[in-house]
Formats: sequence, structure tokens, C-alpha cells
Amino acid sequence: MSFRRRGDIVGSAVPVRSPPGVVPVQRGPAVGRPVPTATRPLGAKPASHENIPLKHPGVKPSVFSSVPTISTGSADLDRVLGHDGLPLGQSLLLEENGTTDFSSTLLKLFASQGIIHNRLDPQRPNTHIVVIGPDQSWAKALPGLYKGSSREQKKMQIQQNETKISVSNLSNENAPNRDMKIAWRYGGAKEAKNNDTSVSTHPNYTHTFDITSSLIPSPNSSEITYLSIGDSLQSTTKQLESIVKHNIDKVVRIIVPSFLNPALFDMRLCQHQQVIAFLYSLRALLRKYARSTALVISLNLDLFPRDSAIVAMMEKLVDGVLELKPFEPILYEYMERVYKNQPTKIKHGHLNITKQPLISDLGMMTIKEMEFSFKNGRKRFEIEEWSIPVEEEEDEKSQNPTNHESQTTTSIEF
Amino acid sequence: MTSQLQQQDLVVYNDGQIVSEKLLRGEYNSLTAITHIQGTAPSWLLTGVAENCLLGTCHFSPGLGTNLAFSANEPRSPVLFASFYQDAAFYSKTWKKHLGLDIASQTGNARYLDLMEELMHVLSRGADPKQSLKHVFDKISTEVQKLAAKGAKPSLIIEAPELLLHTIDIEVDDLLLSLHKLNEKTNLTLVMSIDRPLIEAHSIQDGNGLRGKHSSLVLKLLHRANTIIDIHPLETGHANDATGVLTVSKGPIPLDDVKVQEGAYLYLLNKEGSARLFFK
Repeated sequence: MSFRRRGDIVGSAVPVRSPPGVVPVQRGPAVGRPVPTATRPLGAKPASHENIPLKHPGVKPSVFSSVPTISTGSADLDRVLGHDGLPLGQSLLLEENGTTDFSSTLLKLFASQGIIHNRLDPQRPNTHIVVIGPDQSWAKALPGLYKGSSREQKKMQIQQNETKISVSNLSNENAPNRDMKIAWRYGGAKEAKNNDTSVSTHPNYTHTFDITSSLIPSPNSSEITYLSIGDSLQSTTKQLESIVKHNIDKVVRIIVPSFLNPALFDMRLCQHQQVIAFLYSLRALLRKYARSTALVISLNLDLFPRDSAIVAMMEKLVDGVLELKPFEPILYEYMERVYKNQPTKIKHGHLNITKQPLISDLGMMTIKEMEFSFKNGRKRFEIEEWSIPVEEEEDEKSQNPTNHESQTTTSIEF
Repeated sequence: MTSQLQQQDLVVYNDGQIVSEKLLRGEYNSLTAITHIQGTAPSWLLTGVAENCLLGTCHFSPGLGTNLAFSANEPRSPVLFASFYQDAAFYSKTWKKHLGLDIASQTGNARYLDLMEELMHVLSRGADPKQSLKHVFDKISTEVQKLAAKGAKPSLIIEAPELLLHTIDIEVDDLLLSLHKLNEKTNLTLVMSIDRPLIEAHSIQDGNGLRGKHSSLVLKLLHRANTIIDIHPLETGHANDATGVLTVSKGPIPLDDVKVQEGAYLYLLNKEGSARLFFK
């Protein structure tokens, strides 16, 4: 018979006592609190920006060209960009038609992903966000991590309760159904083993977010900097460069929501020369700090249509361009009718690829229009290949009676 | 489509070259315009032109063979590649592969001038536009003189000069004059984008508008060019077996010693940026 000390964790194979002041390692999945993958020894120097891609848990080589790449916070968007993410030193322009604001969701996912990376190791912040234009209210609704469906959350709650020390739990251990429980646990272990093989070498590269939840705690000033637009766009660029220099040992995610929106940008600043000079300076800045910065901009095409010269120049100066084109009301109603019994299949619009970072600059023709569709779901911004839905039921109904009649008529005539 | 076709060499002049020997050796300085639109970036073609000027070979024209007469130390023509659009890091891999040169070493007969950084300094200083223009072109001119000092006539490739026009407040004619001065010393190749929203003939009257300035610059340069090479996507859109169409045509200014071999090619780029050409 063996005895356990009262302070030891019940169920652990090797009893471990934590020294005072050190948080013990948690067993089981820590939902919402990712486990840090690397720790910095005390007294070690912070990494220089040249080494960021090697050490940052949110950076991995591109699947296209092995350049260091960061996740946008949406796995599907990462895939569409052709690198499984956005390469560092590159920019992405999200264009959107109509009155919808899907691009805002993508920008917030991009920001949330950076914050999550930054919080992986509280002792060693690794990411900084810079938002150009809006004020602090923009980050209030950043999406939090996806904690599973309500059923999964209940299951998790039960598991956590079972690991707690209580009279009922201890008595259950000696209960007759213990063997069954062990068998279940072996089954679970097998499952976990299978999952381990599929886990990539970059487990913290990307996360799943729930857009109906909020990131808690809200990002603070050490995580996000808000840059308001001053007298000129050039002065904003200078401020931005000083922020990048200040955070030289971190990955800096730069976000420009609703670019040139009159609510945020003075119309004096929207003259073509100022706009092009600003984007050009951003491009040069990204190239200068190519191993630590990335930029995402959103633009409303109702204000600046795609056939205008200014948008053509903007598209030239950024590295990636995606257009979010919500469906026409007629098409959306048609999809609702076709997928009456499968509402999850209803998409929200087309996603057109105009430019892919690096790939397009190499000369590859990557313009793809009406080939992808998107859906803004609770836990996933889905991007899939577009296929025209077929109204099968009505077709059958409309075809069957006529076929039947024609068959009858034919047989009578025959 | 292209899988059944035989690979071709790119022939721009009737002596079978991409950059004619007579242009490199003669007194006349040619002006070549390379135009492109969204979806068909010309980086692969520019690397090929630089390779042909420097070594006499071209990675997408195997028929030119390996010319042992020329090397980076004894080039066919020294090359200055000046880009307002890409930094040196972008071209470093392809230069290493096809030209056998480290782009960072600025000592040889092939130099890369990162005008993006230069222009950013100019913008951040907020200097007088004409002074800024002079500063940028003095920088190019200095590099040209360094190459010319070695004896042979240099070849100059400038990528996206239109960005200079749209970022600092200068007139189209000022830029054209500066380019013309460089063309007096070198065989000049200019690379410009001609996307539909940027070009409109009747917008030239609108001298200060973005479209007006761009149209004016492109049309005036095209009217001074000896050779025009255009690359654009297929009219049918994206295809797996063809990236786009390359068209070689004569410019309005004829050449005396050599003729432009007009033609159209289909081209296919692979992931590494290597191209294969086929007759259209």
C-alpha cells in the first residue's frame, strides 16, 4: 500500500512538488491559455530582429519559398495567400465592395493572432500591433480564442471537475466501474497519440478564434499602439518607423483599417500624390525591416472603385490584393432557397485574388476571379472553391410530372 | 496547350539576340520600353535582359548557348539595374542563379541600385521636388559613370520610373529630360506598368491628375522608343500551362544597323521563376 502526500496532484504518475513561487505545470489541455513553448534564461539578452524568424513561435517558413511567414489568424486566408500565411516584409490589401464589413473581421483576426502570440510567454513579449487611423475603441471587440462548442465545453468542465480533489472523486477511484474508466482513458491516450503525429512543428503558429467572443484581457498599451493620422501621411510614416525601431526584437503587425475613409482620414490627405507617397514609404519601410514587419490594409471600393487610377497604383504598391465581393441579393436568396436544409453551406460572397505576395512579383499569373467563395462563420473565416449551387429538388419536381405525362402520352400513342 | 509546342528562344533583333551586338558596340544609344500590366510582372524578363547584356546568354533562350567569350569580369556590356520598385533582396536569388553574381557586391560590372531606399530618404526629407529629382538622377548618373570608366558602353535598366513621377511633385517633361540625358550615355531599357485604369489618351489634357500624368509619360516614352516589348496575361484569364503573352514590336524610331524581329510568344513560368517561350 502506498501513501500520497496531501499536497500532491491526484492522478500524477510521479509526484512533483513545486518550489514556492513557481507555477506548477498544468496537466491536460489548457483551453484559452496556450502553453509557452520556449523560455528565456534569466539574464539572457533579447533577440535581435535578425533572429526573430528563428525564435518566434508564430513564424514559420513559407510553403512556397521558405521565407519567414506569419499567420493572419485565419487558416483559410493563410492558404489562399499561397505561403500558408503572410510573409514578413510583405503587405496585403483587402478590398471590399458594398456596405458589408467582412474585411474588418479579417483585420481583427490578424490583430488577435498577434496578441495571442505575444501572450504565449508573459516573460518574453514577442509581437506588437500598430493600428493606423482609428482610436482605442477599435480593439475592444477583438475576437477571443475558440473554446470549443457548448458540448465540448461541458465535457471539458466535467473533466476538470474530475481532476479536482474531492471526496466523491476519491471514492470513485475505488468504485467497481474503475476498470471501464481506465479502458476509456487508454482509448483517450491512443487518440492523443494519433493527434500528436498530426501536430506540426509549429504548434502555436495559428489559432482558432471565435468572433462572437472577446479577447480577455483586452490588449493594453504595451501590446497595441494606435497611430492617429497627423498633418501629413509622411509624419505618420516617421512615427511608425520609430515604433518599429522601438520594438526591434518583436514581430510588428501593422494594420490600416478603412484606408482613406473620410471618417478617419482628412480629405486633404487623400490626394493621389500623398496617398502614393504614403504607400510607397510603407513599402520601403517593410523592405527595410523585412524580417520583423507585415502590413494589412482594408479599402472600401465604393469610395475608390477598382477602375480608378489611384486604386491601380495602390494595388501596384502592395504585395498581395484580395477582393471581398458579397453576393448580389438575388444570388444570396437563391442560395438560401437551395440550401434550405443545409444553412451551413450558404456562403457570403466571392473572394477574388488579384495578387499574391512574392508569387505575383515573380511574374506568376495569379489573378483568379469568381473562383473562390467566402463565409464569415463563428469560428472560421471559410474560403472554399466556388461552385454554382444546383436547385435539385425543384428541378426534379418540375421534370418528373412532365416526364410522367410524356411517358403516358407516348405509351398511349404507341 | 503549350505542352505540345516546341520551346523557342526569345529573338528581339534580326541578329538573333535579345540585345543586339550592334547596339552594344555602336554609337547610337537605343531606347527599349518594356510594358506590363497587373498579373504579369516582368522580373524574370529583366533578369534575362541583364544576363544577355552581361554574359551574352539567357536562361530562357537556350539557343544562345553558353558564351564563353564573356564573363562577369569581361562582360559583353556592363549593366546597371536601377529599381524604384524592388529592393536588392528580391533579385538576389535570381542574379545568383542566372548571372552567377552576388547582388550585394557593388564592385563588378553588374550593379544594382536600390532607388526605393533613395526615394524614401527624399520623401522623408520633404525637399524641393526638382532638387529631389536631380538628387535621384545624380545618383544614377554617378553609377553609370563608374561603369563607363571601364571602357564599354553601359546598359541601363530602370524599373518603374513612373513611381518617381507620382510620389514627388514634378512635371512629366522634367522626368523625360532626365531620362533622355541618361539615354545619351547608355542603352536604356525602361520598365513601366500600363494598367487600363492608368492609361487614357484623352486624360493627357489633365496634366495634374494621376491618370493624365501617367498616360502622358507612357505615351511620350513609347513614341521615342526603338523597341517595345509588352507582356500581358492571356485574354482567357488564368491557365496552368501558359502564364501570358510576350509581344515584340518596333517602336516609332527606327534603328539603322539592326532590325527589330516582331513576334508574339506564349510564355510559361515555373515556381523558381524560370521561363519557357513558345510561338503563339
